[in-house]
Amino acid sequence: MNISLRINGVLCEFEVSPQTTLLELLRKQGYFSVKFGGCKSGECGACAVLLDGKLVNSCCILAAQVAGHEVRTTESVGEHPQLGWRKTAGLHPVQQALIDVGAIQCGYCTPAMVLAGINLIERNPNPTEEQVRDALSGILCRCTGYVKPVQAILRAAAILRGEVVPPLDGLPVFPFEPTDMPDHLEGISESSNRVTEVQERVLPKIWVSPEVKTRVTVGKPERKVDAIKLVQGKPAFTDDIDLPGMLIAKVLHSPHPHAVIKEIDVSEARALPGVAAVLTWQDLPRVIYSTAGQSDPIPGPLDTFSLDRKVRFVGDRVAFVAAESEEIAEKALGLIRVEYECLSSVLDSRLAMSPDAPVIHDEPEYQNFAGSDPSRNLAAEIRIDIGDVEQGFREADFIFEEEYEVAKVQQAHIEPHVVITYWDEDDRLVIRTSTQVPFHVRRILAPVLNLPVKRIRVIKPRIGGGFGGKQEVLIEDVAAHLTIATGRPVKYEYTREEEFIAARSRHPMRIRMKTGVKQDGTITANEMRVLSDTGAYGCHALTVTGNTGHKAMALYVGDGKYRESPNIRFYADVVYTNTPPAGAFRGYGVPQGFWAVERHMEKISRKLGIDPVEFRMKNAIRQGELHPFSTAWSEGREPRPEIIQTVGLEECIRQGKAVIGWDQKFGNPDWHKVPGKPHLRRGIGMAAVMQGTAIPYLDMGGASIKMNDDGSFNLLVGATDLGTGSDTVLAQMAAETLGVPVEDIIVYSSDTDFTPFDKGAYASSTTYISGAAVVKAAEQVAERIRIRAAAMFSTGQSESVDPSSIVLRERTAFAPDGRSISFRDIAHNALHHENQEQIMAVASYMSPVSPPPFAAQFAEVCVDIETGQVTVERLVMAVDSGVIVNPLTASGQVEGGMTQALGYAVCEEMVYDTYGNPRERDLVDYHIFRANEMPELKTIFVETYEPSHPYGVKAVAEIPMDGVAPAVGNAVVDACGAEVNSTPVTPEKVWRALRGAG
Amino acid sequence: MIIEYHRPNEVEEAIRLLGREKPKTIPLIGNTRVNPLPGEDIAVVDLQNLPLDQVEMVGNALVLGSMVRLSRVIEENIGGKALQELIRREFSHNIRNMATVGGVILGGDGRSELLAGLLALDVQLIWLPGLNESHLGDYLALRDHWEMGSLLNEIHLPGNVQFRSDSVRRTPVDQPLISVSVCRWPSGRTRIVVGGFGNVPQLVLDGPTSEGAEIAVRSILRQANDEWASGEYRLEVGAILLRRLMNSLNEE
Repeated sequence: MNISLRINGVLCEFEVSPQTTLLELLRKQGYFSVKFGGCKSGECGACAVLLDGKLVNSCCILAAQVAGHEVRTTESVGEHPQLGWRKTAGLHPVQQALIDVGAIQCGYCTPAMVLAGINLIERNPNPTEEQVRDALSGILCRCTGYVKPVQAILRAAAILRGEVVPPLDGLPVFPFEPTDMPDHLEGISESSNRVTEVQERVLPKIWVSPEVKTRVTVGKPERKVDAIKLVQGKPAFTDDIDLPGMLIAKVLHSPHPHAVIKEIDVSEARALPGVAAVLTWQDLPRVIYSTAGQSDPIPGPLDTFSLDRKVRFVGDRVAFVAAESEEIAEKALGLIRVEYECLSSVLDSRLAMSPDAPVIHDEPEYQNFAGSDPSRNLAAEIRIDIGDVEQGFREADFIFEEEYEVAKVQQAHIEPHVVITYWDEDDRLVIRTSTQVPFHVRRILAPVLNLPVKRIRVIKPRIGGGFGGKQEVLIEDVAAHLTIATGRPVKYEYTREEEFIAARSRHPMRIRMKTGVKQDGTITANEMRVLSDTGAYGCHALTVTGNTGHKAMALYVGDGKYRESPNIRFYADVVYTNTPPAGAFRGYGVPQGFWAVERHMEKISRKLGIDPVEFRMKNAIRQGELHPFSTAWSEGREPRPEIIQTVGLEECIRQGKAVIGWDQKFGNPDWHKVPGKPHLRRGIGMAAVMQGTAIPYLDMGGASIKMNDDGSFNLLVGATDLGTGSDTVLAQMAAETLGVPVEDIIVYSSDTDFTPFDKGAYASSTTYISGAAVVKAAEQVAERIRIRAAAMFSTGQSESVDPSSIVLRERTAFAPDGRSISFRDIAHNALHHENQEQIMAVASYMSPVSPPPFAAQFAEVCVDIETGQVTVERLVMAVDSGVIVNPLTASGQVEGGMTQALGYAVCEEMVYDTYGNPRERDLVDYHIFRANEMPELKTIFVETYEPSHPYGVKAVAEIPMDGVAPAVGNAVVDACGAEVNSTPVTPEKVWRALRGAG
Repeated sequence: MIIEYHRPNEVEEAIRLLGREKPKTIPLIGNTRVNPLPGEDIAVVDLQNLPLDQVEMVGNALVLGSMVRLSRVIEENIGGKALQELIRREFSHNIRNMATVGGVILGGDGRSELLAGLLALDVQLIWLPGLNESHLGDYLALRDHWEMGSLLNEIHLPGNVQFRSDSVRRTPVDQPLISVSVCRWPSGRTRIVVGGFGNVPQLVLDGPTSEGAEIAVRSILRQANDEWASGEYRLEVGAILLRRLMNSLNEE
């Protein structure tokens, strides 16, 4: 049918089918700012457009419905302020504000937020925070926690009203002055009455230790280097291209939790017009591998085939289809006839190792790793004893034992998994994919596809969020096999339902704690026994669970003689079940561990009558002490002793307590009551946590830098910025080292053909590992610049200038006598004039240590003691992540991480029925926090100077996941005494706990 | 798949299309899910050109056309704060701009607190052709077997009533685990509806007074066991919510 409509003011006519959605039409026409969030039911709002001036979701409106109407997309909003000789109006104030306040992380939902903000301000030039949050309520953001997007829209509104807004670079005055706690002591406030001032809280509070040096660029709230393209909705993501002849892939998923495919007939599907290929296990080489995106050798069992004769969970792969359209591919799936022989299944991890449990992996090709035993459904086993644990228990006055449970939860990045594959003109296979690990994709898939590594090129465009879910070689093989089969480009993109039934998740765990404690609160021995459920495949099975102990059980070593020789036990069984596989998820096992440890510490301190904060600090690890697990376990490498050089935990607690008003609230009976509402109780809780920074002796990152004619630099990194801002932070470190502004660093990441190797974005390693590589490369380039500048200074002079005496700053090389040469002149000299050379360098870095960041997480809740409903009103996190390279991006990490963690604290979980069918298949049942229901979030950085890094940094990305859930659980106890030992802390669990408590 | 799209300009044409058996023909009335079942060929009828978005007071009743968008109810301050609050809690800004009152009635399930609220209000539905009347409760009981070819024209909400609704959710705008909606007429007539589970909300009481309400709530909720909450929990908490709502009405 023919339709006509106005798009961005231009009258357009199209031929569409009746079922074409507006989203499909717009993207087909190149309006790539309108993003696909995996559904056709308006769950996430990434596809939002303005239809006759109303914000609507284009995925659930038919193109035919908009005939005769006016559609506006972000493409119409603003342009880059400098486009050569053509004058532009520049960006819209909403776009500029989103950039300025650091509201853009992955950028996938940003174009929708731009429209939402503009639409609101056009209707209401002076919106309140509540109105802004309501305007954003239909746009799910998994990165930011909504703090900065709300601030951006309020700021833009003020600008559009003609008000003068404070410059952001000046808040607070930079460089930051060392401050102490009392300076920002805050009184008790009603969360419900909070008002966000335009300029308030854009930058986090930062406490600076005396060792931290003042820098020009490092430490400054620089704008993200990719922000301008993301705020315009430019075609920067994997799916934002349309190749000629591209086929659409679909996968037939198993309806059974455990079955053998007895017969599979694809003849009807293959005969369907428009179907290019149908592949089953009979068509593919039988190559066993692991989908875990980790360095070689994979620290886990090899137990996966692209397609197998056996299916092991509801959602497992049965067949692949490639067709001319999505509709034809879907229809073909329905024509595949499969005869299954159903096998008994095991869905409960507690039954997985029982003698009568079905064996999930009986394939002869299975390759063991670290104690895996598929005959017992055991994917990995860990047994660590540090010190003499039994003796420690004997020396205790009290033994506390308790069992805790952490639910299976989903990464829920808004951009689904998506990949496009094609043969290039040299018959090399190009894999354009939304991945955190492009180099691992290439290495792992080469044998699976029967191609040498050199004939595979992996391109990683911008990523619309990953959170560990894309540290998996999850769907690239599907498209690649189909490209090999058909010779044509193939696109495969998960639907939101596939994300829930077939992608990875956090390992659910049952954790038993046993702790020996002296009367004075000294921990004498601490034991954790974990039963971890890896689901049907063992990807990340060993390493995720290893980190549960390695990080969470390292924090409390005990006091006195126990501090020098702690007694710690960590035993774990990681078992297979017939549920969707678990995998990497931000925090990587550590949030599970800290749920148990921090709930347990709270219980112990309360039972002993010791202040919970004092109890923690008495037993927590301190600066200069040995990381207790460093000699016991490492991820696939020999463990080596590691002294912890910096611990800012005590200061984090002081700062966090001050901001949340701990001393005024904790133990104050009046504060716990809500006037006029006898069924409500307030509570306050905290948790102390630690993480790691990269994997020692394993993680490696590379960087190359070359100088251009104008004195700018190309920085090529294999590191993958999945929205975290790592490209910006790496550019800042390069700029600082080279003495140029960030705008002179052009960052490109990543392409396995062009960028140096990097292990990828995981383990909180990019700023530390890849950053150190960048600094090394930049130092080498700086050295070449100094040598050439010295030669230029010395030409015609009686005395030559020593290169080491030359200072690089402000795009200029300065000689000791005050003479200077611009970088442009140096570059021209090098490239065109004398002894020509390309000034460039390549460097890489591998760390021998993994310096842990620390944090104190605080939560304030209000509990309805009659219904069990918990409302989280305030989260405050004080973080020691070493030196903060960029306060905007780093605080964005903390805000977004706290929000994800809040979800798994109170609402997120994946539940299965007795047939292995998931309860959650969309973002309605799987609820993630929206802008209009957020508690107040506050971030504080306590800077320490980590000596193992050239700029003193430690990790920040994962630690925000660790403390929220236990802090909320502890706050619930503080409010009403309800002890809930499993996540999420739902109303019914609280209600039952209250009834149990009498 | 959707094989036909129609946008009639006349109500009669819409009714004719909706009355067809083949292909199965459904109205586009503001639900956000437009996908048919796999393998099913359907036709859709877009009602945007029909005069179904009127808002008026007729006597004591507020009359809403079935295509009135939920956003309009809020923006034009229609129907009272309690109703508007239900809409805000259940529908995000974007969805409110697409969803209609009629869509909630035709597609809402037991977890829709708005549908539960409308059921407590005992709204009257006016259908075309013939301006046939039915109460929402009657329609919901037969929704899966409702006569093809009928078109929801208007929804009549009673004025001059006291209306309250409350719910328990995991987060402020998550779907409710249990909701209780209460409407009381000046005569004392009281309707109580529970929701948060099942295909449709459940009417627990429609009496001249609220007498026996708690017993009725407990009786209905005892069986309200599903994967989201136990019947035991819903029973106890439903009774608590009911008490609070009744107290609130009595204090007004």
